[in-house]
Order: sequence, then structure tokens, then C-alpha cells
Amino acid sequence: MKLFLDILPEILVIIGIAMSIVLSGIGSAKGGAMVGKAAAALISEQPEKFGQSLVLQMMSASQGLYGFIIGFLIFMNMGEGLTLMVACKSLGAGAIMGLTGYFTAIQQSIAATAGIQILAKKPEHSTKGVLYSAMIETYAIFAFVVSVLIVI
Amino acid sequence: MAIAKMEKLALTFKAQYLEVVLQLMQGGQGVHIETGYESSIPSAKRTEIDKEIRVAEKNLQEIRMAQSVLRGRESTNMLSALKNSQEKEFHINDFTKIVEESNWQEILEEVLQTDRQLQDNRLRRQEVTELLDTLEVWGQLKCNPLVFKKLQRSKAFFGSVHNNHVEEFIEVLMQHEEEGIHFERITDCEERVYFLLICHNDASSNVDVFMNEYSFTEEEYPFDKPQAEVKAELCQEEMQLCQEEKNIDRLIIEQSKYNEILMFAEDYNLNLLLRKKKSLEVTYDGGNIIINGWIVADGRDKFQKLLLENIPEDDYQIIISSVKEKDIDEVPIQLKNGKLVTVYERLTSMYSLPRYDEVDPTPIMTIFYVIFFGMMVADVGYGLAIFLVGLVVKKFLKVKRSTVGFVDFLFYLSFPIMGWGLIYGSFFGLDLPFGLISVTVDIIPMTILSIVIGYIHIMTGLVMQMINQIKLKRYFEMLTGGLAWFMTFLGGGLMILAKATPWFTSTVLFVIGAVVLAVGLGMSILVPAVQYGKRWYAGIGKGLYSLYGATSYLGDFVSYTRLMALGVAGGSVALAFNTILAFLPLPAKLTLGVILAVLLHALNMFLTLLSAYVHGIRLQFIEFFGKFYTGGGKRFEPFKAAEKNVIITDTKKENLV
Repeated sequence: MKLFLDILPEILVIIGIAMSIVLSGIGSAKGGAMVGKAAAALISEQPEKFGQSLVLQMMSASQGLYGFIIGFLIFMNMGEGLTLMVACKSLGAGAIMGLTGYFTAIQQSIAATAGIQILAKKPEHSTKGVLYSAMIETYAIFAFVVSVLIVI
Repeated sequence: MAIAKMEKLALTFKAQYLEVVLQLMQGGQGVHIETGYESSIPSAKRTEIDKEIRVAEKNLQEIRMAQSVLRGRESTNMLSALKNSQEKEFHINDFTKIVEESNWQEILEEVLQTDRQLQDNRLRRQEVTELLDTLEVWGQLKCNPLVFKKLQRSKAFFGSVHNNHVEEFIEVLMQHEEEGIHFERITDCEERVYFLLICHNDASSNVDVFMNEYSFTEEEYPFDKPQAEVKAELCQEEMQLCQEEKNIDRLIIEQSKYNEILMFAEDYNLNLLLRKKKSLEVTYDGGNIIINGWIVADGRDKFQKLLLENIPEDDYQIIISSVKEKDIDEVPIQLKNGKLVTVYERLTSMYSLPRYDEVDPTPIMTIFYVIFFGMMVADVGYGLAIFLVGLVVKKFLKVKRSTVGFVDFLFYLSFPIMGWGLIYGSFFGLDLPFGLISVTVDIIPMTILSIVIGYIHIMTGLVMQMINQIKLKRYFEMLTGGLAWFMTFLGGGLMILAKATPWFTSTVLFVIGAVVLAVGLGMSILVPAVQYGKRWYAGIGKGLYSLYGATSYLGDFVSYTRLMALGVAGGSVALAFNTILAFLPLPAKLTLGVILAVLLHALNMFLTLLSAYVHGIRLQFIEFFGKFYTGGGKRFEPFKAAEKNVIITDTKKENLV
């Protein structure tokens, strides 16, 4: 029992890192796949729109990145004299970033997938599709801000 | 600086000058033509124009076909192609003259002829290959099949039976061999076995029965010469065709020098098509044509002068008048700004163009956009990279006009990126010794800085709102909306300044702030009460309800924290990449590490730029434009040349290409 309490802080920190990186990573990957699928269908007809479609696909990449940063920052906090308080904070930060990143990445990609339609029919307005998607990213950014504030 | 002044134009002229007038306008004379009464076109005229449109469309189709034949056949390399991709410039009259004097139609016919030859050649080769395939089976036959037809007492059949029936078929034939049936197994193909059957005339009815029973498929010899002779001839022909194709290929490579004239011809026909289509949209009035539209005030004199030069004075009449109050909804909008701001007009027009009586928000938006963008990327290294790439592209590569705007867009942004990079002390994620704010440590100051900048942004938006409302003479709304909130936030700002910062700590300032805030809140409640007069209680209710708007302002302020977040994100990722690279042993660092560093930083740069671009726009559209800007103006779309491959200028050049 005592041993468990000794390593509890480390366990919590690692769970925090894992949540942050894994969940946001899954979200970004799911989102990217969703948009990529729609984009590939478009490219088979209009290959010249590859660059613009790539931008739409990259929209959900940022969540994975935020998750990675938070994970990295938590990792930097590990070391000698890790207190239970710091560990709990790390877990909280990781959970906030991971869960928000997971869901926003997917939702954002739904908007980006619809943006592919704009790209297909009115490519001169495709930036608007990017913007619709970016509106949703706001919440991932908020989660990121709070997580950074907790970890620092 | 803002929206270009427009004037209303009404031009009446004799119908025969329509082509001349439209071409003048295509020369870059900036006239926005309003669609006239379509039904006014005489039907004979309409038929004529329709026919001309069809001719032009057919020409275009053929030109594109010819271009696709020649595409990629030039022997130039990539770099020079990139350098030469810039379009040539012409005056419209010169351009039309060059194309009309060139023999583009003959050239087009020549290229298409070559293409037809190539297609014919390929078709024939395919035929020959198929014939050779057929001959393959016949070739196995030792005798001359032409003899079969000449047989008198007996009959000969050459044909095949499916694999499955072969054994039985042979057995049946063997049984009847004595009746005068001779057979020979010639060759086995994939699924069928070929036989030669010779029988006496008397036995032929019997043979017919077997053949039906086992689905014997008889082959007809398709040639009038023996196999060997035919084969020799076909092989000879195939070789000739090959040789011919090589010659045609060489001809096509030679003809790729016509690419330019074909490009010109394409533009010429596109212009023609545009003019013809426009001819259907103007108003016909007996022998005259009326064009109603808009012209940029600066271009008016030039346009009048051109008309005078090209059309006899008695044959046309032009009336130009200034914009009246009632026309404001219809005036098309052309933004007109300085060199730097023009680049960022694309953002405003992405949201919506201003109405003619509105203020163009682009200049003031540009200032904030540039600051925001710099803050979100904030790395000297990244800024430097964009600057250098932009410089190389601008100076050494002649890019198309459509991409110049985009290059400038990023190029100008490289300066604020470097500026904020110096403040954040970040160079490709490495810490510079003199940075004022550290991305990894000073998160709280960065957040506060972001919100302060957002505060200035929102206050500016509120000032713009007040200016707009004063212009529209909506004073009550100005007091309850813009001014009341402005004072509330001003007071709040002063109070925070007095309480929370060490430099301005003063009770007086705090009290002043509190008073201003109270006045602001009071205004938003009391002014509606005054406005509603006898129903003052309803006014107070409305005022109280409007205080609920504070929540949306709160959201706006929080929204600016993204300035910090994206700065931190970009900086941290760069830092993380550098940390990972630092783990590499020295030899790997110098080889693989360099490549990895370039790739990783390029990825981070792309993502950071993308985020900064999008979120910069968001802050302008939602937080800033939402305060004061409605837009809804329609774009000034002058009737002009197609400019797909060349640029049409309105300045005449003496030395022609």
C-alpha cells in the first residue's frame, strides 16, 4: 500500500500525459481521415484542388498538436520531488486537453468535410469552409489555454 | 482611401459601333454594365449573335484540343518554364491586331490535321495488330486456305471446337473416317482447339450434323492471298506505321512553337465570346443601343476621350451623373486603398463588401490583422524564412498576376512575425538572449497582453460603431449602444488600471473609472427610458435587458486569449522538436538531424501560419466586424478582357513583341 502511494503521483502524471496525447491524437486522426476520404473523392474528379483540400484536412491536426504540447509540458514537470498536488494538476490538464481535443477535432472535421463541398462547387470561396471549421477549434484553444495555465 | 467614387453612366450610340464600344471597355476602361432589357433585341440580330457565339465556342474547343495535343511537348526545362510563366502585356487594340493578322486559323488546322494523322495511324496500327492475331491461327495451317473454295468434289472446313468437346468430337470423326471424312488437329488455343476437316461431298450432310452437335465454329479466311504473303505485307505495313508515327511525333514537337499563338488565339476568342454574350444583354432601341452602367470617377475623362477618338461625335451620346441617394443600394463597390492595405482587401471582401455609404474597414482591420498574425506566429526564424522566400519569388521568379497578391500577403506579414519574434525572443524555437517575454514562462503576462490588445480592438470597433451611427443620424442608438458600452469598458479599464497595476495606483483614477462605468451603465438603462417617453418603464426594461449583452462582450474578451495560445503552441512545438533533435548523437545531428530539422520546422511553420491566418480572420470577422460592420455591397465588375494567357493594359506601348 505504501509503495502504491509512493508511485501514485507518477501514475497520475503518466495517465495525464496519455490522456492528453492519445485522446487528442485519436481525435485528430479520426478527423483527418474523415476529411481525407471526402477530399480523395473530390480529387479523383478535380485533381488541381489538392492544395486547398489539404488545408481543410489539416484543420483537425492542431488538436493532436495541442495534446502533444500539453503532454510534453507535463513530462517536463516530472522528476524528483513530484508531489501529489502537482500530479493531480497534471492529470487534470491532460484530461481537459485530451477530452476537448478528441471531440472538437471530430466535430471540426465534420464542418471541414462539408467545406469540401464548397471547394468542389465554388473553389473561390473555399476559405469560408476553412473558417467554419476554425470556429469550432476555438474550444480546443480554450482547453489548451486552461491546461497550459494549470501545468505551468 | 476607402471606396472608389462611382458615377452613373448612360451611353447611347448607333448599333454598328457595339463591337467597337465593347472592345474599348475590354481595354481596361472599367465600366460596370447593368443588364438591359433582353427582350429588346431584334430577333434577326439575336440569331446572328447566337451564330457568332457558336463559331467562337467551336474555335475555342478546337484551340483547347490543339493545346492538349501540344501540351508538355516543348523541350524547355522546368525552371525556364517557371520564369516564363508571366503573361505578356498588350493594349487591347494591339492584341486584336496581332491575332487577326496572324494565321492562327491555319496553324490550328495544321495542328489538328497532325493530330488526326496520329489518330488514324494509331487506329490502323491497332487494326493491323488485330489482323496479325487472326493470322496467327491460320498460319498454323500448312496449306493455302484459298484453295478450299475451289474444291469441287469435296468440302473443307477450318474452325474450332471448345476444349470440353474435343475428345468426343475426335471420337465421332474417327468412327466415320471410312465414309470419306478426314480431319487434322491444327493447333490448341486458350479454350478452343482448331481442326481442319475435309470430307467428300456425299458425307457433308453428316459432317454438318457433327459440327452442329459439338458447336464447331467455322472460320472464314479474311484475306485474298496465302498466309505467308499476307503476313509479310502486314509486318511491312506495321513497320511503316511505326516510322510514320515517329515522324508525326517529331512534327508535333516542332509544332509546339505554335503554343504561344494558340494561347493568344484562345484569349482572342474568349474576348470575342465575352463581347458577343454581352451584346445579348444590352438594350436595343431601334437603330441605337443603350448601355447603362457605372464607371469609376477617375476613369471618366479617359473613357470619354477614347470614345471621342473612336466614334464619330454625332453617332453617340454619353451622360455621366453623380450617385444619387436613391441609387445607393445599386452602386457597385470598388475598394481603393494604399499598396499595403490593398493586399488585405481580400479579407474584407471575403466577409462582405461595404455598402456605398459605409466606411471601408480594411485599413483599420489591416493594422490589427497584421499585429495579431505576428503575435500568433512570433518567431524570428519563421519570419525570416517567409521574408527570404517572398523576396526570391518577388525578385527572381516572375509569377502570375493572380499569385502576386498571395505572395505579397505573406511577404508583408513576415515583418510583424519577426517583430513579435524579437519580443518573444524566439528563433526557430531557440531562446534568444534578449527576449522580453518567454513563451514557456510568461504565460500569464502573455494572456493579459492578449486581452489588452483585444480590449483595444473591441474599443476601436465600438468607436467605429458610433461613427457609423452618427453618419446614419441614429443618435439614440449611438448613445445606448456604442457610447454606453464604450464608457462602461473605459471605466472598467481605468478601475483595473488603478487597482491592479503598480504604476497607476491611485484612488482618484479608480473613482474616475467607477464614475465613467456608472455613467455608461446608466446611459444604457436611462436613455431608452427617455426615448420611449410615456412608456418609460418599457424603456427601462429594454435597457436592463441590453445589459445581458455583457455576456457576449465577456466571450469576446476571452476569445483573444487565442493570441497567446497559438503563440505558445507554435513556440512549444518548435521547442519540443528542438529538444528531440538535441537527443541525437553528433554525427546524426549533422546529417539526418539537419534534414529532420528542416522538415519538422516546415511542418510546424505551415500549421502555425494556417492557424494564424484563420484565427486572425476570425477575430476580425466575429469580434471586430460584428460591432459595426454590415456590408452587403455588390462587387464592381467591369466588363473586361478574359486575360487567361495575356494581360490587357490600358497604356499603349510603342514597341511590340
